[in-house]
Amino acid sequence: MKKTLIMTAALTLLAAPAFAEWNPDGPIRLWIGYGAGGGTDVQGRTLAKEIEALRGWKILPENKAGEDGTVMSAQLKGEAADGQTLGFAITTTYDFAPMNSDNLSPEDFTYITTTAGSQMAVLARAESGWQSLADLKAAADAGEQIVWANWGTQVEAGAEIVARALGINVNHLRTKGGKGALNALVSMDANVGWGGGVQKPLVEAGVLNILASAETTPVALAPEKPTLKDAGVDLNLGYQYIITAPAGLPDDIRDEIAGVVAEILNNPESETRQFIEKQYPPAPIITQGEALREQILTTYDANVEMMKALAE
Amino acid sequence: MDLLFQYIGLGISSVFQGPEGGLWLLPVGMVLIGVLIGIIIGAVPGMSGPFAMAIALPILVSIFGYGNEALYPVLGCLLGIMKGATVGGAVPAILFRTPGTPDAFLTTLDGYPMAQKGLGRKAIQTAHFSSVLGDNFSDLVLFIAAPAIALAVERILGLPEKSALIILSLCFMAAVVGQAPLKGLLGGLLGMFVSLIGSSMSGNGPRLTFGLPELGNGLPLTSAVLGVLVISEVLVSIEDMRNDRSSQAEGPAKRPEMGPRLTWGERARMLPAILRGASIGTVIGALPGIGTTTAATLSYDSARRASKHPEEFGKGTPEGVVATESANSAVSGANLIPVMSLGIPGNSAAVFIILAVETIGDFAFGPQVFQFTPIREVEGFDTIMNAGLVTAFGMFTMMVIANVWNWTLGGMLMGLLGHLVKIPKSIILPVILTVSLTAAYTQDGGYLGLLTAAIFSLIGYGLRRLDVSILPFVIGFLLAPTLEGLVRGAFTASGGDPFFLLKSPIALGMLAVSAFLLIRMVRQARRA
Repeated sequence: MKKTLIMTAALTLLAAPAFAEWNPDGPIRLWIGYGAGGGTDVQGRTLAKEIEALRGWKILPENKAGEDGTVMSAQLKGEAADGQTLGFAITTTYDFAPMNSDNLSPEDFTYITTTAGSQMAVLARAESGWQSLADLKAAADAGEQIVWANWGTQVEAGAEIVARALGINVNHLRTKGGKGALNALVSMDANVGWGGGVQKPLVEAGVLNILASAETTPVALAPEKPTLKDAGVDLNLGYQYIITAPAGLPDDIRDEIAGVVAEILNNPESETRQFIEKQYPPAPIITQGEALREQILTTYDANVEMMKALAE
Repeated sequence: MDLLFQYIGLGISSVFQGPEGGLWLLPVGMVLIGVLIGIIIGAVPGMSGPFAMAIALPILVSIFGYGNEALYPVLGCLLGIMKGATVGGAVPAILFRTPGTPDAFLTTLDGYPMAQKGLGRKAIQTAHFSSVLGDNFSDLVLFIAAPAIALAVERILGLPEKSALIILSLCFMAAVVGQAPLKGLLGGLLGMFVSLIGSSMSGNGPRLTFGLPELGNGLPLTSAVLGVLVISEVLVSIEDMRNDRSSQAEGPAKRPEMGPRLTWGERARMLPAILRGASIGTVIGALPGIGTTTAATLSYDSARRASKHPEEFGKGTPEGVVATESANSAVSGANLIPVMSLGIPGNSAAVFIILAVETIGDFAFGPQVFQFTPIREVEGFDTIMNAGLVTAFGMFTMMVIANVWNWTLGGMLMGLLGHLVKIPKSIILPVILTVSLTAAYTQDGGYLGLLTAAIFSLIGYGLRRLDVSILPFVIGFLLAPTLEGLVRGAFTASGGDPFFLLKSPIALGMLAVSAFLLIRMVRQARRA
């Protein structure tokens, strides 16, 4: 008996260094701000699996879709800031969507880490034969009705900005998530649409064409296609996938979680990294802590200005 | 054509190939378990296929989880239950004149007299043969019709037409379901109203949530459906039990003499009648809202009219059993035609199939499932194809497997079911209640799920007591978000044209028929 006690004590001591850093007290809830099967969902679930394997933390992913991730963030805001409830959504959820809500502000959250960046592009059905924004404009000028598939307020505003820059008239179609926008394009409910990354298989299969990149650089799938900026439209709709917690999360917990995610994303063998390299090339984008908070707050202000300008 | 066969091949192999690529017999086994449960549940008076599916779904999800690889085992089991129940219901109807499922009621008319004449075995085998054959027939129609309809819908119908189609289906359902069409319509509208809670799809934040952020994405779906369909039925049954306690003391009836087997010659002579019954069942099943009972009634009537000895109907003629069983079983396959091609559920069994698909993985029903994307392999990436289509053919494969089990084990099991003792409701009801409430709590948002289930069970109880059929409520609840998305889309895509629904002749035609149905319903209600 005594021996066992000593053994246990020794083991506890030996194991102690491993417990020096923060460890959750029970399972961590990972709330995914978009629906099942989309890019956010797949990435979040893969990441959750790998964190479990790496640290032994039990992670329970759960989808809370709707309103650009704010259905999730509105609930996240009210949870305890103890690292046991985390949100997985996109930067738009925090640096744009709170604008439309009286109850949300970018200050309501602790920003832990980004994981990947979008491959935001303007898409059209290959059947239409359009290769560029010029083709789109020509078709619109020839009298074709343009319907643009959008999944949120920000990208709809973006579509309007593009339309005004081209001097054409577009009607908008609101879809459920990026996958909904693709479905609308394929089923001919819309003839132009945005794609944030999920479009990859359909573009490669030759069903959809990329007309332009809405990032600061050309998208990996169509490096020869110009960015919107090259085409004369001053617009960047790129976003990142981001893990957050309620405001007031202690720095050590924030950094611990950020560290685990970075460790996984930097490992070339990791399934999450391989998914990101495939769907959101070329590599994971890891911005963390204060730098990330700074990025969200500045972008939020810029977005407020953009919407003001659009309304005028 | 090659592409079609490629997809069919992939679909079939996807059922037998596990996530890691090895041989995977889990879905086949789950189909078998489903069929066995279905036959047994079907044979228990007071329980029905949809009921068993409602209870099985949460249990299955807790075993297999929400991942994509859970879809086949869960769907396989549910499809098995759906199919098994259509077969099992006939046994107690024939032997004891207590139909196991509501749609087997008409089977008692001729099945029970046959058993009394000492032809029990023949009656059961007739029921099995015509039931399974009818089911197979409607499956065949489903396999061909669902992709064809979906492709046509996708090619021909735009947003306004799709909106009009859903409006038409809802009106049609209200008009045909239950005794009082106007009540059905009101139930449907009520269902649509409660589904307004949550997302408004406008980007201006959630609506009608009473400030509860948890309701931002709408009411928890599983809890709501379990509450209104299952728990309300439990409440009604408990009340009924309390009211007539005296009639509870019934012991198991005595099993009559079974008699000779059904010969192959007799089976062959039944074929034309089975084909007629199955056709009626298939047509009825493909229309949303009309159930198995209507199909069985229509088929029984038409069989009597076509028969050379109409006077024998009701006195124990096999023709009567053939007519009802072939028709009510043919409904189950055909019911999946609107589900798989349009995402519109037609009866409660279909509601649970849709619920399973919505809860698990990323597969969803709708016309996009049947896009025949060319299959191509891309270096460094995986194969490009329409994974939804593979899943659809996988589902068809599991249905065929269920049919095989029904043919073989179903026949054997039906012979044994004569020994079944009636399970008292005082045992079944608490089990159902516990399972449903646990499911609402664990899988659907904790206390919010429980609360939703409780409120919806009261709604369901109220509707049942007011003789309003539940189905339009549930289907209105499930379809309203789709309808809103389509109407909103059609409106904005038209550039804000106020007459956006009336611009195309197809949409106009469908809306005209809807209006006609509405006027007819109001007139009927006035006359009554």
